[in-house]
Amino acid sequence: MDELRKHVERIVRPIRANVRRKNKMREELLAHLSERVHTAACDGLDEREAYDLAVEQLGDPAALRRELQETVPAVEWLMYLPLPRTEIADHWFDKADGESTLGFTLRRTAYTSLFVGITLVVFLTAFELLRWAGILPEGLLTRVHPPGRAFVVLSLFGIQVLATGLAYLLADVTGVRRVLSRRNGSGVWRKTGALWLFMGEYLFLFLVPSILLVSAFQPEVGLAILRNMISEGGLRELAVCSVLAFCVAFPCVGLIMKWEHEQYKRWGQLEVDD
Amino acid sequence: MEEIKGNELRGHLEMMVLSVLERGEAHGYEILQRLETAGCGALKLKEGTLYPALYRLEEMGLLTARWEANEEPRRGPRRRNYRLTRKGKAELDRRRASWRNFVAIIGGIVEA
Repeated sequence: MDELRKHVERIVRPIRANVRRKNKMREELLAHLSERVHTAACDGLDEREAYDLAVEQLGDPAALRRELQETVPAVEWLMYLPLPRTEIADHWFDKADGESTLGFTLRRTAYTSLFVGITLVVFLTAFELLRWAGILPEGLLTRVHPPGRAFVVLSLFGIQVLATGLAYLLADVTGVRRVLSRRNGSGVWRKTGALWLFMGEYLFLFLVPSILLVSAFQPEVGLAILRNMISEGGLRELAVCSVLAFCVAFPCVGLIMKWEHEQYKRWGQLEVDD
Repeated sequence: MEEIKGNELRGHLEMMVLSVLERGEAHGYEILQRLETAGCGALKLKEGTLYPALYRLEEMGLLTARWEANEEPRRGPRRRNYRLTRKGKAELDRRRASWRNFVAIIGGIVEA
């Protein structure tokens, strides 16, 4: 079985895709090879001959790898640069086999809320500790006037995750996701348009409820947020907060999801010639 | 019977897969066996090429797939069973009609 796993790994490992998709490929190809070997053994071939026959009939590994890579959506192919450990986040944030769009939206919203909530707590704690230790100057971020701070808090929690979920639903219903998924068969301008439409849907769903929610409690603040957002200072503050939140949250989330990755560790430990 | 090999099959593999799945759900290896049986052993395609075709069809919404349940007793890794969707059935009907039209027109020219 290990020989078969090695052969499968030669095909799948270099493919740029999320770990869920790659594991699906691994399991299916391994199941196929196992069946072929079993059939060949029943026909009277010995173990070595059965293995050689199964591998030969599967086809050229490089050609098969290219064809499998072609099935990976363009956006995913671009995202999965060969960086270490980035595959850990896949399982929690990707749509599972047979999972409905609504179910995926709710699950992802819940997970992203947890992610953002942990980010917020860790970020604020780290920030306060650093300021107490004198490493950060006094007054940092307190120069962010109230509308900007309210906007930052809302952008990190609640409305953002709801917008993410709703944007995915909209992308599915409008067919935008399908256009973005195809590597071939859609022109580059159509894909670019679909990508802008998706980002626009997300931004619209994110900004409008944020401002409406704040305006419901403080009407004058809602207008101030709009003015602050488009000012140079507002954008810079948002960028600083976003980068800090990401740097703090990413290792924490990676550790939380590490155990899920362990069940596929055996594939990663195989030594194959790439 | 003369063999039909890779390049000649490539453009028709998706339609053939949809067609064999019309009989009922099947995993990849079984789909290949159905194709071999239906083709009377004349189809010679590299077996791995089936899976990219299955993934494309699934992405287009023409197939759905699920992993077989753990309680089914068998040896080896679990298999993924594919099933034709309603959209897949409609697409199969459309491609069949297109194929019949193609055969009728080209056949008429070639046989003349």
